[in-house]
Amino acid sequence: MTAAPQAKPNEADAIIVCENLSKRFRMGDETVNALQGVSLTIRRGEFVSIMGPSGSGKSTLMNLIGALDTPSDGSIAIGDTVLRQASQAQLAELRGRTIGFVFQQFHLLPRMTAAQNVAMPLIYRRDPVTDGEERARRCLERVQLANRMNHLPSEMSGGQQQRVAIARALVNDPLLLLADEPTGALDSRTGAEIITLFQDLNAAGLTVVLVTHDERVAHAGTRIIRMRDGKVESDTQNTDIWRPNPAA
Amino acid sequence: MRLIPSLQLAFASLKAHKMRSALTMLGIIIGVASVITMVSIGQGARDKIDSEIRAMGTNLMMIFPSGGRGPVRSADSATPLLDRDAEAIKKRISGVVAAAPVRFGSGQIVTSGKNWESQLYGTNNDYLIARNWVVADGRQFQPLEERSAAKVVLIGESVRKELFPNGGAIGSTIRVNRTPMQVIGVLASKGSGSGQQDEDNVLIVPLKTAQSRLMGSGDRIAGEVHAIFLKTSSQDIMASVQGQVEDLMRERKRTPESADSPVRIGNLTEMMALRTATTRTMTALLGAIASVALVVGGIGIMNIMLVSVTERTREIGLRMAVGARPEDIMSQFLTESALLSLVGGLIGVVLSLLLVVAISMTGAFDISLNLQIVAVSLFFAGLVGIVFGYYPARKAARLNPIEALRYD
Repeated sequence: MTAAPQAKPNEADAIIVCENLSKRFRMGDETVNALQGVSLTIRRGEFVSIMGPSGSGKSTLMNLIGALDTPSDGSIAIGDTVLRQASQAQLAELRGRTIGFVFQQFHLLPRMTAAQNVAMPLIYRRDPVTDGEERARRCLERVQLANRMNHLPSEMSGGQQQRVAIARALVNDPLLLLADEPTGALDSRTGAEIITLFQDLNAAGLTVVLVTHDERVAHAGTRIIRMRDGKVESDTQNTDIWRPNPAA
Repeated sequence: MRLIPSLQLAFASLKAHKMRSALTMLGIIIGVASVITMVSIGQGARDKIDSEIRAMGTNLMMIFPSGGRGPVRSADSATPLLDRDAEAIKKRISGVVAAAPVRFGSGQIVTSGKNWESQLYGTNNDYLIARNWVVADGRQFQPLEERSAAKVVLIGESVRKELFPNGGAIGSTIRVNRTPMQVIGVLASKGSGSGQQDEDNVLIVPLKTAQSRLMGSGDRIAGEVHAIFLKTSSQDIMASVQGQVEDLMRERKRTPESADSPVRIGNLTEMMALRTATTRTMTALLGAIASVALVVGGIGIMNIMLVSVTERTREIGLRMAVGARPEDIMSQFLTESALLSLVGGLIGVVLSLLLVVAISMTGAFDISLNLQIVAVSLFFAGLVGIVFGYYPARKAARLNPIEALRYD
């Protein structure tokens, strides 16, 4: 892992810069090209949807953007950090500092309260914080769950659990929120609420990357990247933004 | 991640599976408790031997005629020992502090309606020196009493307790084997009577008195004794004194070089050292067997930690996704297994304390608790937790976060 200034001066607000990104896996005797020469840039404040059928490489791309994996070829810059080869420990630090993950299955720890779940990532910081409870409370307020601080996940609905997970993703003030099928385990009404929450957070300045195979959910973003066979098929600004806003 | 959150995490996780944690700990509990108890039993045996040595007398050597075995004489006993031999040894060999000729026998005591049997020694004051025995009340024999076969007797503490429970022993007359004898002293208690023989149930009379009045009939040679007790001035010279005694006795008994030695010499310190070594071996063996329990307990911990890692694969993936480094995961699981074994170890210590108290109350074994072994076994319990927790923890730390998150 090498730290370098911004990759290109004319893209001062770029958060993710992928250049000619490739990822190969060995499956038995075969080599699978999960990603081939993907180049893209995600800028501060964008709401990017990454779409594609399964096997299109969108999950692999997401793992690379989320610093869960390193590319076989090409380079990816996350924030100020250009990533080529990095150890698990270095990747972990990058994940903790810059990326907030939201998963389809929420991944809350069942024996911890909402507040404890939200504060959990703080214990892995290299620079420990003392105001963990206060931070957790503020993040739960941002997802309108301040009144559920001391509830266990089992005492909350799916939508509430996902909002706790989003609060957890926010607790380290990440550069971007990376959501993998966040509405996949929710009914459409609750899913719509979560989409609205993402749009609100985005409106407040947070960069959001949403990975989905649901056409309608993808239209919540301001930009849609379609993947096919490990390549970017199309990368367009979305003019027809879906605003579920069920309250209205 | 720092220690306090690590510990909190480990506690929470152990609390979440109370039954499982308790059962896993059981192995360590049994291991630690048995190590401590076993070693304490071994230690108790050793302490007992130490106290026996102290009671027996230090730097003590016993000379028996080679044909006989201790006080029991075989039919064609070799040249008997004489009281003059003791005098010669004391005079001619330097470093001999005391040389007491001894006759063993038993004394039937009758006094004012009470009947009591005890061991009877005919000897002189040197016997008390050799055995580190002091007269607690009254006095030793006077030279005249030794020469004139006076009817005087020193009694052991057990005899006093039995015959004179309310005091007044000194100056009283008791009948020993029908001969009236005057009590001139009471011996201090040896107090080692926790075994076969009560050392304090003893009567000591001058050698001449024993020979001529109490049990001398049937002697082949006048002045025959059963043994000579020697005390040397130091431990170091015992071997050389032993050689000199043998040479001297060969000379006095006119035994040719080719023949066996006329005497058998028992070096008590040596015998005791041998027994001490035996007990030490026994202690080590008991400790080793008990350690097996500890190791088995460790395997139990490894087993349960492997289950725990598998069960919590997604949790591990999540923690990695939010910034946990492999070493954070590693330390989380190591803390958990170390905590498991340390808590088990502490419970084991408490259990062993109860066991030691219970065993010492029943009196089945001599037992003495060694605080050092408590510390050592606690340390090893913790070590077992870390050693056997290492493999599962490493397995957890090496998980790929992408696969771990997808695991179900």
